[in-house]
Amino acid sequence: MMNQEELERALANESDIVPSSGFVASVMDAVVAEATAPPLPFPWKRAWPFAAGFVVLLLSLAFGSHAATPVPDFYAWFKMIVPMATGWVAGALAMTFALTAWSLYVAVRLKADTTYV
Amino acid sequence: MSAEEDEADVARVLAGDVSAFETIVRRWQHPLVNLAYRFCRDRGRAEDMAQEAFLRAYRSLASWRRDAAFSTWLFALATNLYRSEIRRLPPLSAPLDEGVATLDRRAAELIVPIVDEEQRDRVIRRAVLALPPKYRDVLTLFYFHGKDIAASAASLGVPQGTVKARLSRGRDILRSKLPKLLGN
Repeated sequence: MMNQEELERALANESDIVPSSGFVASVMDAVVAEATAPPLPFPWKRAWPFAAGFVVLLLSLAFGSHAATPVPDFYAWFKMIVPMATGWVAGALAMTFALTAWSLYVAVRLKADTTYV
Repeated sequence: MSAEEDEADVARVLAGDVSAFETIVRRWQHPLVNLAYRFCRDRGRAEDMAQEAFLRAYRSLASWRRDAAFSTWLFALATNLYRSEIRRLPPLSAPLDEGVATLDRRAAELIVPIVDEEQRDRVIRRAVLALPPKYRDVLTLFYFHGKDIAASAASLGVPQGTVKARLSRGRDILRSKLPKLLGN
């Protein structure tokens, strides 16, 4: 077996490489591009229906007739939503497990396909 | 390389002077490219990885708290990036993460007649890449930082005791596999 000193010497005595002459320029090009890039525009096209809905909700809360609105029966609502939610959650869990199993399968396949020198 | 210079340049960059970042790149290009090279053993890829490290450093410059030296922060950031890059796309001779068994298997494939000491040392350094990542990273950082345990621990974000333990185990694994690797 190789002794400790030989191993130390082999690992410690490594000569450095010199970055290529264009390295700094290349980094600075990327940095300047990053610095001068315009910020991502806000996705108004996707957001406006939600924004409009929110405004309508606010207006209805502000100006709607609260007197006519009955007090919501949260217990009845809860009783109605639980069976629906149970089915939905079960479906979502099943899909999550299926996706996880598929991801693991793909990862293992990719790993097995990697060739080493 | 003085900490004051780094601090002054960072302050200028944060004040909006992008060109001040060039001084930082010039000052740190050599160590960052060399650290990347030790992780991937490919000059072109090392420069790409170092460039990405500088770019990330530029983006998160404001998050550098002055409680640690700029170099410590920069090396930790670069180390994190290099490790995830190597995990994403392993270097030519390194396995993904199959531990010692892989080193055994690959040792048999890598047997080469050793002509001289320099060639042997190259094979040894390349074999470090085939170690399980936690040993590979510690060995790489330790020798890069001139055998400085504290600097290696800071770059990896682990306690110094962990570095010492992994260093010892990593060397043991490497030493036990080298005879096969070197064709002895």
